[in-house]
Amino acid sequence: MQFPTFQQLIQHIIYGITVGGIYALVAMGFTIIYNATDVINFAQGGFVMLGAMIMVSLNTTLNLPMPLAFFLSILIVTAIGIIFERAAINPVKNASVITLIIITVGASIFFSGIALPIWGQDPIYAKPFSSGDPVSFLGAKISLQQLWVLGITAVIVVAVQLFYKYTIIGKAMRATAINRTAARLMGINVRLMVLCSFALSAAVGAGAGMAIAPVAHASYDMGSMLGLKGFCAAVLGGLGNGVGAVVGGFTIGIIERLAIGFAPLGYSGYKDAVAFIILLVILFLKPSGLFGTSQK
Amino acid sequence: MIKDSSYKKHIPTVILAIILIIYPFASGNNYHINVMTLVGLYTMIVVGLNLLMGYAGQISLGHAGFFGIGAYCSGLLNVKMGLPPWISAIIAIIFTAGIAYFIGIPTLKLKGHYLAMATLGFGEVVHVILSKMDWLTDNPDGLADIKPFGLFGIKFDSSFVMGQYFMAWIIAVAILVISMNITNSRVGRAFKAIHGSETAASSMGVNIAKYKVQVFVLSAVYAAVAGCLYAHFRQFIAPSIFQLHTSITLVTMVVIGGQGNIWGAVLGTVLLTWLPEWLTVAEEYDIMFYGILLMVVMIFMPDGLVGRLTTLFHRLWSRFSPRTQAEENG
Amino acid sequence: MSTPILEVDNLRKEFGGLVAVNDVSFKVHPGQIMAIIGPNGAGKTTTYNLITKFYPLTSGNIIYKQKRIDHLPSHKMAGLGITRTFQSLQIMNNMTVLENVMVGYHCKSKHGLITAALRLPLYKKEERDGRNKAMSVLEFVGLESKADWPASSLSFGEQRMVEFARALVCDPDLLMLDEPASGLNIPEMEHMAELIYRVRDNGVTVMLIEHDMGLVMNISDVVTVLNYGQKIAEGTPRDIQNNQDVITAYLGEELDF
Repeated sequence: MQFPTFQQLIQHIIYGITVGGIYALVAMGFTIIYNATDVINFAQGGFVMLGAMIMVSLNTTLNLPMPLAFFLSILIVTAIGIIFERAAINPVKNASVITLIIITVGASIFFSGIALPIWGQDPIYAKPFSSGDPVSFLGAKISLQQLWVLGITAVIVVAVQLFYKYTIIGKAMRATAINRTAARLMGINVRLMVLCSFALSAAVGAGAGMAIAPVAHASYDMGSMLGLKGFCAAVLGGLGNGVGAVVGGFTIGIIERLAIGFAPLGYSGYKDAVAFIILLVILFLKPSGLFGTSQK
Repeated sequence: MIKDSSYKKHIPTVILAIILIIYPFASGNNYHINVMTLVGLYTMIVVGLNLLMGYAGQISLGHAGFFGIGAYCSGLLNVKMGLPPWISAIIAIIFTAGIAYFIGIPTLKLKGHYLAMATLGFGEVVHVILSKMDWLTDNPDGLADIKPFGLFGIKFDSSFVMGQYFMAWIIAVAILVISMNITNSRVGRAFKAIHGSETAASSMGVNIAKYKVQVFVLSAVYAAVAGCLYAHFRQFIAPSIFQLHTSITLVTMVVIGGQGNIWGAVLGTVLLTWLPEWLTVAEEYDIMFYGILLMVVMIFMPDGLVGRLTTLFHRLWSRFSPRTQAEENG
Repeated sequence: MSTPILEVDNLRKEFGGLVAVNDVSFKVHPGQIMAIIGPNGAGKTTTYNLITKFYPLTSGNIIYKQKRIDHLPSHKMAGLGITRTFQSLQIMNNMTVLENVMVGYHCKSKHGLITAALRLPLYKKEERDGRNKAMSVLEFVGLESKADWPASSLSFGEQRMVEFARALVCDPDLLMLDEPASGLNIPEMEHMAELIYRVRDNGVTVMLIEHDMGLVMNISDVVTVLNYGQKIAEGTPRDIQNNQDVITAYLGEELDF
């Protein structure tokens, strides 16, 4: 085991928070759909990837300004989410857990299958949102894009909370999540809420992808690992728990980064196992997650 | 009468055996025979997964992990310790069974989504560990120089295509027969009873925890057998095949074939192993079509192909059955 | 009097703060038909679930054939000779009628995975015995012609019979029926009553939870009445019909003696 200096430690934690923010957004995407449908959407990583790739294309190929590319990309991915729900989730009735898992996995394969011929195998370069020198914090360096990631994460988390709290659709979605039958009896169009949850989840996923594109390697298969880590974060926080998903995301991001920091030389390659080990430990000890009430 | 029906029961096995014997001679294409050998290996895993999913009603998204543990364990024992392939394979299978047992006890307490997630997590941990094995394999790409199986002085290496094909399929058919025997027994009924109603099963004396772990270990053993054969056939193994994507493909083979139907497992495996080969027609769009096909089949045939065919068959059958009954009565 | 086959002593179950079964005691004597009645929510099925170990007890003893069984898991009950049916049907829809009933033979046979895989002699013998036994029980309940049907294709009344058959196939000493007549039409109910009699005449002790008072008063030897988790009366059907506490407990409910 190696012991990093204080400065390195801070640096690792900052990295962890940045990556954790992305995990948190992906986890939130899982949570939104899970609450509305009991579906674990394995295509969540696909939304992340599409968000990033489409934004970069709009920005570099079509030369649209970054903010416009950002919002257009969110719109396009949201539309993809809606089409996905209508085409692949809505027609399936009374499907088993495993059938739905295979459908969403099929969708995720489909998304990367489309992305591969369009954008090719190699990562594409994404411009940072703003240029400038890294900021110093307690001796550690924070790049401006990392600040962007944190900012975008914060904005999306707050926006989703506000949406749930103050809009009619948001309230209806919450009601649907709590009790589908009761919601239906109260006149809420549950099918529409399912559609909305896919739209919202796609938008959140796209946001995550765009924020991380300039720091990570944006490529056709970037979604799969991010998706799985976000999935671990969602379980850690308690599947279906929005706040839990965010806390779970940051927790996994930071622990993963610290594991790299403390790992003996040559062992940092095992970092990808960290999230899954956390997943197994939480499932064996408290399947309802950190914030969940006991499993029904 | 009873004799007669048990005789009929063997017809599909005999037909399968005949097709399997004819295939390599009819095909004559070494590449195709190799694909069919792979189908044989996958059939072993899928039959086990079918017992786990279709019969006992549990889920595993981590069986590529057991496949990988079997392959790497046998390969490493052979390469690093110089054990003969047969011995290393047997040790690897026992080792995998042990891992499955210890993982199975806490995992199978979970249900539905949670079970799916835990098995997925297990599979990914195994994949990461196998990916970082270069300190042991001395090769960043995988494990090389695995010795082929030998029998009576004949080496079953990659040039002996027919030998590998028949070895794989003899074992696969043996696993099929064993599994069918199990499904028609007290143990198989216990598996199905757990799927049908855990409450009723338990009140009838079925130890649910025990049988869940039993079927999980059994399916892991089948996967390990396939893994050992894979390692010593290919003589080189890379971690990339032992990951979530493969686990999900295996599960899809079970579902597409039809859960709770051993023959469905074979059909699903054949279709899904050949599908990527057929899709090469679509060139760079092959992955996309693969994704679409998975979705379409699941949306329109959630019971799988054999389920669909059986329903059709029953519909036809019921049309003729009144006459059959009348004949029996008369 | 003979020694009781089952003795329940101060049985208690709390769910959170709610007391579902409040220190209930009773004895069941061999060869009797003992009915437990009570208004909805009286704790009847909970009492069954405690005896068959689907819930852990909060406190109390369960003594079966003079041995304490309250520490044993639920899957040990069938082997001891205690089987049960369920108020909400627990038919395995993925199996045929015969297979459903053969699951009941599980505790009478012991071949395991490897014996089955290799079709060793023990497997063949037990499989034959189990099949014969299951067929004879199906004949007893009148379903032998539908043995190979998928259980899910049977009518509700027939499914009740399958459950009944499944509980009988391992020759229990104590048969616990949970509302065996609910959902049955009159002829089916009469058939069920007759079968229960015949089972008792074969030496099986029967416990019965039932809402149909006609059936209970007709066939029971002893009736225990629960209300709000407590035992409020016990006696012959005639005693119970005249018991003031019982009448009060059922006040407002349709009571059709």
